[in-house]
Amino acid sequence: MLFAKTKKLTFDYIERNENEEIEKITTALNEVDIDIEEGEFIAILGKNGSGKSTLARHLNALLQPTQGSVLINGKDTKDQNKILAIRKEVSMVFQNPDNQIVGVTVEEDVAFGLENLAVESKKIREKVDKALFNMQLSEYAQTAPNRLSGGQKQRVALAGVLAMNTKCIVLDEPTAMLDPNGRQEVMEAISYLNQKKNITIILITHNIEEAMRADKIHVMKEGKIVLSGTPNMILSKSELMEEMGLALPYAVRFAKMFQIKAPNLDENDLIQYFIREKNKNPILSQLNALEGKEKLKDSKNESKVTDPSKGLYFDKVSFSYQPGTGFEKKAVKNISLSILPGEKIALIGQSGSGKSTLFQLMNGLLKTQEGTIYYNGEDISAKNYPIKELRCNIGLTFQYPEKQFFMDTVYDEVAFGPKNLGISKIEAQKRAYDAIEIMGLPSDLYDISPLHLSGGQKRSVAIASILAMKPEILLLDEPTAGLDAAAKKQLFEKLDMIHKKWKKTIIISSHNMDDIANFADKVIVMKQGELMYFGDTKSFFGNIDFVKECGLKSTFCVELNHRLQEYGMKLPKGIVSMNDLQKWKDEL
Amino acid sequence: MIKDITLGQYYPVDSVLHELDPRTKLIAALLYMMTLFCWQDIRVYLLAVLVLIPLLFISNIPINYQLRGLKPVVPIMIFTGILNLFHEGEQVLVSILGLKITKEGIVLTLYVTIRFVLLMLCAALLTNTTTPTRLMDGLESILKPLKKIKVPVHEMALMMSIALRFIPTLVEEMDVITKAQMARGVDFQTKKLSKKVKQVYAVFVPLFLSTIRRSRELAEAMEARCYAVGVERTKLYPLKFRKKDVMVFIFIIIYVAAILMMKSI
Repeated sequence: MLFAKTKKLTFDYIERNENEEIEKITTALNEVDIDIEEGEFIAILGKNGSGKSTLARHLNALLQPTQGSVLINGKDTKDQNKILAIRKEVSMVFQNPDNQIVGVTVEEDVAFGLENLAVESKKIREKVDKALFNMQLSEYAQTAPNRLSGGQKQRVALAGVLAMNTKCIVLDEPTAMLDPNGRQEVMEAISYLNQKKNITIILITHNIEEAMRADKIHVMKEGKIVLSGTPNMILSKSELMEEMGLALPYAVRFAKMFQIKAPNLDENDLIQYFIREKNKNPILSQLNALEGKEKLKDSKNESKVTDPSKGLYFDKVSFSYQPGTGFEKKAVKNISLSILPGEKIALIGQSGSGKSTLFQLMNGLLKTQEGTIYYNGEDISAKNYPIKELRCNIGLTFQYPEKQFFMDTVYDEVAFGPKNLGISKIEAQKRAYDAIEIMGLPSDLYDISPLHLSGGQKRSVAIASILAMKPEILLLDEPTAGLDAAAKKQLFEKLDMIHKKWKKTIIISSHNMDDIANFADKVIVMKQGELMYFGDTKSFFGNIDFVKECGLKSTFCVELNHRLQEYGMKLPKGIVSMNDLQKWKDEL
Repeated sequence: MIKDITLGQYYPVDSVLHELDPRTKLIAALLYMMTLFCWQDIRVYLLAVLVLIPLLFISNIPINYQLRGLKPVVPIMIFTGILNLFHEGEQVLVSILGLKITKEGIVLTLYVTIRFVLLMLCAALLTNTTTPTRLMDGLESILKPLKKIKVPVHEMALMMSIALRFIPTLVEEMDVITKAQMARGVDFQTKKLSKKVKQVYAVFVPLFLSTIRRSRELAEAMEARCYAVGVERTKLYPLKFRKKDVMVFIFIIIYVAAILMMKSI
C-alpha cells in the first residue's frame, strides 16, 4: 500500500535583506517525485548540500513545499488542520543526539510526545515502559541523558517516537556524530523497527554502506533525484557515486580494483565470489597459491625510549578527573611513551578510552597527577616551565574545531593565535597568511566569515589557526569527523604535505582504521585509560586477535584476509591498508 | 567537571517526603522559611530545629550528604557572622583595636547563623527530594491562576525545565571552548583589562552561536514530536493530592500558628 508520495516537490530557500527584499533564492528541491510503500525501508543518499535533509523535513510537515505536493497516507502536508495527524504518523530523528532530547531523565523524554498528544497518564506509563524495553533502555529510565553514550541517546530518540505508535520514521543522518559502536547500535535498532514492528523507515545518509540495508535507494544531487533502485543496482553505478563525492564501501573498491564483476555488496559476497571463481581469474588463483597461516609480527609494545631529550616523553603518567571525590574517574593510567620529532602517529581506541585526555596532557591543558612529561628533555610541570610556549609548540585542535570560531573573517580567525603570542604584528600577519595558504584556501575567502564556508573549508581554517602558531607537533582530535569523502581525502593530502614538507610531527585520532592504516606509521592504542600498544601500524593491524582484544576492528584487508583463510586462501603478506593493496596490484 | 556536582540535586531514594505532592512541599517549605523571619526569639528557632531534624532523617538521604550541601556557603556564614559580632550594644565584652564585641552581637550572630543553616537545609531538602521536573510541575500548578491574566505559566515552566536539562551540556561545551582557545594562546590568567575583554569574547561568542543553533534544532525536534503552544498536555507523572498531603498541611498550619502565638506569650 502506498504510504507517502511527493509530486513534483519543489522548495526554495529565500534569503531576505533588512528591507524584506528578496536577496537570494536557492532551490533546495527541484521537482522531486518519490513513492514510499508502507513498511518499506528507503534510503536517501547524497552528499552534504544535496537537499536530502530538506526533503526529510517535508515528510513530517516541518516544511511546506513551494511548489508541488507531499501526501502522507492521503493527507496533504499543506493542509494546516492535518499537520498534527501527519506528525503522529511520521516522526523524525535528527543528527545531533544532544539537541533533540527535551527530558531531564530518559523516561520523561520518551513521554514527551505522548504528553503533547494529551494521552492519559496511565497509558503514557505503559507505552513508555514498552518503548524503553524494545529499545533495550529499561535500566536507564531514570538516568539523565547527558550520562548516556551517543548511540544510547539516539535510541532514546527512537524510543520516544516508538512510544507514539508512529507508522514511519524519518532519520536525518542519525549516525553522523557517533563512533562505530554507536553506529552499529543505531543501525540494528532501525532494522529491528522495520522488520519486527513493520515501521516504514526513511534513512537520510551519505554513507553507502548504511544505505545498503534499505530495500530501495534514491540518490540525490543538487536537489534532484538522479538515480533510484535497489542497492545492487545503485552499486553497479559505482563511478557515478564516486563522481558525486560519496565514499564507496571497501568491498566495492576491492572489487573495482581487480575488475571483479559480481554482485559485490559486501565482504560475504566477495568471499563467495572468490570461492566460486578462484580458478578462473588469474589474480585470484594467486591467492589460492599462498597456503598456510602466517602472522604478522606479534609484538605488544615495541616502544623503547631512545632519547628522552628529544620530542615528547611520557614517564609513567596518570590522570584522574575529580581526584579524591566520590566521582573520581581514572582517565589515563601509568602511561610511558616517547614521541620523536617527525613521526606520523595515530591515537586510537574506543570512545572513553582516554584519547582526548592524553591529547590534553600532551600540550599542558591538563596537568599530570602522577609521573612526568618531558618536552625536549624538560619537565613541563616544573614551576617555571613556560606553559604558554609549550601550547604553541604543541598545537591541538579539538573535535569539531569550527565550533570555536568567533571572528568576523577567515583571516582574523587564523591570525588570532599568533597575535596572542606577543610577536610583532607583521610577523603575526605573515604567519596567518602562510598557514591559510598551506591549508590551500583560495584567497577570495580570506575576508568572508568563517561561518559561511563549507564543512571541509571550515575544518581547514580551524587547522590553519593552529598551524599559524608554528607548532612543532600537531595534535588533531578526530580531524575527519563529519567531513564527506572528498573533503576527507583532501585533508589527508594536506596533512601528508605538512608532515613531509614542513617536517611536523603529527598525531591524529580517528575511528576509521582504514584511514589510519593509510596515513600513520605508528599507532598508540588505548583501552580504558591504559596503553595497549605503541608501535608499527602494520604489525598492530596485522595481529587481528590483539586488535579485537583492544576493542577495535582491524582494516578491511586484514579482516577479509582473516575470513579468506577459513577457505584456504589468503592475501599476500603485508597487505594491511587499501594503499598496500593498490601497490600490490600495480606490481602484478 | 562541574557537571558532577550534586549539591542540592535530586537524590533518588524512596521516602515519604519523595512521595509528597510537589505543591505541598513547595508551600510547606515557603511557609517554614517565612516563619524563620517572624521574630528573633530563641523559642522560634528551637521549634524550627525540632521540626526540621526529624524531616532530615525521614528523607532517607544520608545526613552527611545533606550537611555537605552547606559547605559552599560556609565562607558567607563566617563573614556575616564576624560582621554581626560587632553589632552595637551596651554590654561590651571584648574590645579589639577600637572594635567592640558585644553580648547583643554574639546573640545576633547565633540567630543569623541558625537561621541561615535552617534555610539552606530546608531548601536542599526540597530539591533533594523532588526532581526538577516535578518542582516545575508543582510551580506551574500553583501559579495556574496567573494564566487568567495571560501569564504563559506553562511555557515558562517548560523553559525552566529545558534550561535545567541543558545546563550540564552547556557547561561541558564551555569547558571545551575554553580549552580550545587556550590552545590558541589565550592566557586566562592575565590581569590586563583589554585582554580580559577579548577572552570573554573568545569563549562567549562561540558558546552563544552554538546555543542559538541548539535552540533552533531543539525547537524543530519538539515540533516534530507534536508539541504546539497553547494546547492542553498531560503528564507522565500527574500531580496527585493525597491523604499524606492533607496531613502535612494540617501539621504546617499548627506549626505556623504556634510560631505566631509565641509573640503574645
